[in-house]
Amino acid sequence: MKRNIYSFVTPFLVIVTSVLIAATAMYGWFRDGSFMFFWDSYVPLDIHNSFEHLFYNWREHVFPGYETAGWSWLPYWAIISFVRLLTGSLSIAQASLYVCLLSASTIFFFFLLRFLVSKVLQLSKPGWGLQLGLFGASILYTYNPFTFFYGYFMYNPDTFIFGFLPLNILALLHVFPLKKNGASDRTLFWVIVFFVSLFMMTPGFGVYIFLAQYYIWLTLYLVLHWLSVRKTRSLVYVVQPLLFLLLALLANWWWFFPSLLGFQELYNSQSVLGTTFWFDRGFIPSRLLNSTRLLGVPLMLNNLFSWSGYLNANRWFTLPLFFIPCLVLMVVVWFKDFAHRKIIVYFFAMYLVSLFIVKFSNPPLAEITKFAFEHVPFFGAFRDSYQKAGLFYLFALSILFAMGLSKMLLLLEKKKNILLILGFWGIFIATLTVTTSPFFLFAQDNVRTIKYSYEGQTYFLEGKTKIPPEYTQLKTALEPECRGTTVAMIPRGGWISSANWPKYGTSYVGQDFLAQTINCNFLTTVVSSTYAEASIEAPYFMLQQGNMEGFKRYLLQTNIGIILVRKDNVPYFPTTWVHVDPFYIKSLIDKDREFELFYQNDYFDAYRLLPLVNDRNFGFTLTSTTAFTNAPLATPREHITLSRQMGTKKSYVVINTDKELQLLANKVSLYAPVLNCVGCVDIDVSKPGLYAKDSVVASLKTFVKELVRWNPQRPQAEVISMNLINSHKIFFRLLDSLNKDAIDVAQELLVQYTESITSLEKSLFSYSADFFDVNQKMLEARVYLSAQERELSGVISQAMSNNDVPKNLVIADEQMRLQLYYLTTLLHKLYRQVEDRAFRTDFTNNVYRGRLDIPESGMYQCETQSLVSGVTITDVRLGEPQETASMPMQAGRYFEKGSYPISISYEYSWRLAPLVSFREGDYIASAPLGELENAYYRLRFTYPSSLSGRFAVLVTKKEISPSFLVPSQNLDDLANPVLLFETPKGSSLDQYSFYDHTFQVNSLDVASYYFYIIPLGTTPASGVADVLHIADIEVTKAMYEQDIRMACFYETENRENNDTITVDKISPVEYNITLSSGYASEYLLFNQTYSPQWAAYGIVDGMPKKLPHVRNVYANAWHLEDDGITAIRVVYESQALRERNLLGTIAVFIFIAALYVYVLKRYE
Amino acid sequence: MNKTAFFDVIQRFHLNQWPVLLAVYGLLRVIFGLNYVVIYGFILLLFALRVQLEHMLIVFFSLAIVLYVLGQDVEANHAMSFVFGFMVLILVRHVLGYLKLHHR
Repeated sequence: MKRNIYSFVTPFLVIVTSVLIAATAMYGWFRDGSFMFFWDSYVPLDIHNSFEHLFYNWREHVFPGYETAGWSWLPYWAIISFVRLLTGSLSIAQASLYVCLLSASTIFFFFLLRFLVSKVLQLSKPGWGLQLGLFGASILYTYNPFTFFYGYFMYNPDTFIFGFLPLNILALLHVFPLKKNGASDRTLFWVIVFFVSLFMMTPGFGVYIFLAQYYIWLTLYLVLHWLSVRKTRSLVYVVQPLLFLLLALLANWWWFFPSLLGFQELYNSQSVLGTTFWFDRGFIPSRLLNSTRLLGVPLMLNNLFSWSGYLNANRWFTLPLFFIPCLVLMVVVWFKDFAHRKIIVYFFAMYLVSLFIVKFSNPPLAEITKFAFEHVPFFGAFRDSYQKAGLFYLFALSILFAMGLSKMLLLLEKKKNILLILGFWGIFIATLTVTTSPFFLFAQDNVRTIKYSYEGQTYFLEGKTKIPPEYTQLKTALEPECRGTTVAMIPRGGWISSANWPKYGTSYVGQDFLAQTINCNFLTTVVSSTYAEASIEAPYFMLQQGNMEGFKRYLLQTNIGIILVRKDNVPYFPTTWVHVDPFYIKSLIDKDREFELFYQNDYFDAYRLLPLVNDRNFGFTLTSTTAFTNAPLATPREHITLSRQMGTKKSYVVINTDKELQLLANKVSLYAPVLNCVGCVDIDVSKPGLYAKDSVVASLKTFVKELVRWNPQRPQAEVISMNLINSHKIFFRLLDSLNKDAIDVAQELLVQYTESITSLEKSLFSYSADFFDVNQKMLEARVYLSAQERELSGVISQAMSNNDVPKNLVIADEQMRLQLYYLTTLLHKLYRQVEDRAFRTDFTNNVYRGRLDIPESGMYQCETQSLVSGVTITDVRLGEPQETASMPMQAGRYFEKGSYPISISYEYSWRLAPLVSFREGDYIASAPLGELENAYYRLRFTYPSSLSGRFAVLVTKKEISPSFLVPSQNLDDLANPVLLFETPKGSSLDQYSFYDHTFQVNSLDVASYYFYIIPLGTTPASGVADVLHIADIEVTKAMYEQDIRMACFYETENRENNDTITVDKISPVEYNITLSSGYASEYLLFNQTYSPQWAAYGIVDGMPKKLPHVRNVYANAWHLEDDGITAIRVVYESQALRERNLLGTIAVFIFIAALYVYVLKRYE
Repeated sequence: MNKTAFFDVIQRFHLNQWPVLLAVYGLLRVIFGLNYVVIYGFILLLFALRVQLEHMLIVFFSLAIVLYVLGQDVEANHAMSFVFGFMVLILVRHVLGYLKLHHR
């Protein structure tokens, strides 16, 4: 009887205390009806919308749609939605979930520890002191900086793993003990517990790397089990774990399979910076000194609270945390005192492996991690290694800590020294206080708050929020109106949006509220497809320029029928993407009769675009117009140009590759060529390391070729390129040998180099081909020769002097010096000749040159424009440099099919000549630049070469002040006031050097800018006197490839027709379309992001037939091959596949589960 | 003095106890300054004295705490690297021990 009470009281106390502690920790976050919502944390804000978002793998709410991940978050959605339905409050639903997960974490971890203690310390009945210690260890596992930052303050469903992993492992230890005959007598019960807890972890496994680690550790455990028990009834002990592992895999297959379909694409998009990028940057705070104490969590350093300094920088506050690794070490030291040591070895291995990844680029042996990042497939997924490996690290660490703690408590109990016991508990409590401090000690300020400034005022964005009633009211008004069309939001948000609601004292910064709460298709946030993103940025660029006509045209062409002006957004840099002032745009829309205001509240004005009122076809249209353009359509400006070229056309198929043109030449009815810049991008080929030595393979190839005397006849263009590369290689070998003072080798290479450039000169200038082919070779030669000339003059200007030059750079050999002088002349002459003949853009002399490829002879309407304010086009000339003809900027002209050289001259109608004045007291020269609009600027001036390296230039957003010297701790504002900071250093041998540099103004608010010159290295007074010799300071707009546009169009015939369709939306992944009889259109267009998974089945004579699918820039089009199609069914095919997979997985799971139970019962 | 007698002396005078070894390192560090030779030489000394890996672990962990308290974080982290290294060696020893056991 006594025993029963004992076994009942402890669990009861543990459960009640855990729930109370969790409720206390969460009280502050939810007490006022708020819910936690910050940055990229996902919260199901609307039950219906979020179900659609999670269930269907096509997300249409963010125009033009994108594919979403698997179903792992469905259990999370189900729990939140269920409690929300019961209570009607998202705050209560989220609070309940948080409290449940925190309590589960503590309770299950406690029982796991108690089980482990009973095994490894052979204690079937631990004392109260020991149980209290284990409960403390469970608190440490549940409440620590890792779980706070990676689980709760910005919600991450990995909390489901925190909560249920202990129960899962407890079940595993019962089902597969690491000792013969140690199996539980309730195996089936624990098997069920195992799979239920595994299911409960599903939302956390949405971070796939957790899933991968889970299976690796599970498999290792099963192998360990098999090794421990294999001597008896071997077949059963192989079959049982295998079936179990298979079931465990199937338990996650139902949701993981759909994710796997898009896995490669997801990995590619997430590793766009390269898998070693993050590793190369390194992260010192996660070094062992911190990570062994559960500190150095990256999010802890990026998300600062008022108390962050205590954990990040205060060495005395965090000193007690050495207690954690200390007890882990005690387990290692007392290893032989434990029973069931294999369990300890298992968790010890988990601890060390995870710690090795967690410490990231820090010693020891970081080379191994680097190797893994570079060569092990998908290892790049550990880019935020603390988070990705930290989960299992925390788990193993807490277990080892608890084992060390238990052992220590037993020792102290034996010693019976009250002082030692009190001291030990004191340190333990201090450790717990520090570890749990983000949840408890600092609870008064543990809601993340971003502080930022806009136009001189300070604003706050909080990590907890409430949905204002205006949003609910808007939902009621907007949803009936938006069906079948798209809503464009002004201003547009980034992937993360923000809003400030001062009248409710709240705000938010997180995944776009509107797209999540309102069942409409919103053009609002960034999508991950380059082409789609380029297109949807276009209207905002037009609005920035006040181009309402272009904006409206774009809306008509893309079937965007509703404009929603948001008045609750105070621009914040990271959530703003192409900012436009909503109040200014509203004033323009109000004046336009084609817009009609249909709903208004304090935060929103909603307008409908009248010409599209009856056009609600979910982005489906019919067309016969096929247009060809040679623009890649990867930037918003290219889309603005295309939209302008298309004029009033509402729907069209666009092809933009030569291959497509060849295939569909007879279908094209509209040609829209654009001018492609020639020589706008300078390529830097001066990387000596690349050319210093051939690789072994390359040398071997050359040797074999020489051996077999293989010298095939090559086209002259190829010969020129080979000569260029060859001379370039020899040149850098020559520099290398000069650097190493190997004069004999240098002599030999010098002769080779002279021969090679002579041969290059011959082949280059005798090359006869089409103008642009010859020019291409000239441009290639220019790139290489300019790099060589630059390097050679650098070497000569340094190596010939004896002042302040490292000894190894001084060329002592007289003969060599003379030869280098001669070489300079030779190279310079050749470079000049090439430079004179090359037809290329010259931004220094304000001439933009390009190639206009006319795909078909015809009468083209052409237009030339500068897209940069402050730059005016003065002349457009057509033809080769020797025989150009003037051409009007906007006119019709007949062009034969072919390529045409175009030269466009421009001038700066806006320029600044800042008057630099010397500020006596500060020893600094300054000039105000005034208010600058967002753009790239070019700063140019001349200075005496003697001043090279002796002064610095600065361009700042506000006046320079001592505060510039204090590094900002606030990472939220991102308002770096310094736009340009450089010490001009020229290698020119002339008396004067020329400084030419660009800087960017990219600010959400209007501010004044300043230019400074700071003398360096001399006494301030004479330094200032010197810098006053800097002359001709000029600031203009900087010009780039896409800043000048020349676009033409020629329509062979007008193929517009008035075919109509009726669209019936079944779900976001299925539509039924009915065509009008006798339609003449050739294509069905669907304005959602292109994916090969979209398929259209035309019904011909009652039979479905798959229609040919083509990419229409970023969207979809299907060719209507047959005339007799009466209806079309459009589906996103992988949705059906994932549904079939779900059913199949359930069936197979049941079958294998039955088999497993049979094996279990048969051999029990 | 033969080999056994040497280790007996070490044992008798507790020269291989971790507080003594920690003091030895402190002394070397004070005399020779921050030098890699000192730390690697010290490890060789530990191996030469047949100090158990577990004791080395305690020595270096204690060293890390002392250095941390003295504000020498880089050096403390270096000591922690050795702690990690010794832990890996101990783990490998245990794993090999099990495999050997099974082989028998």
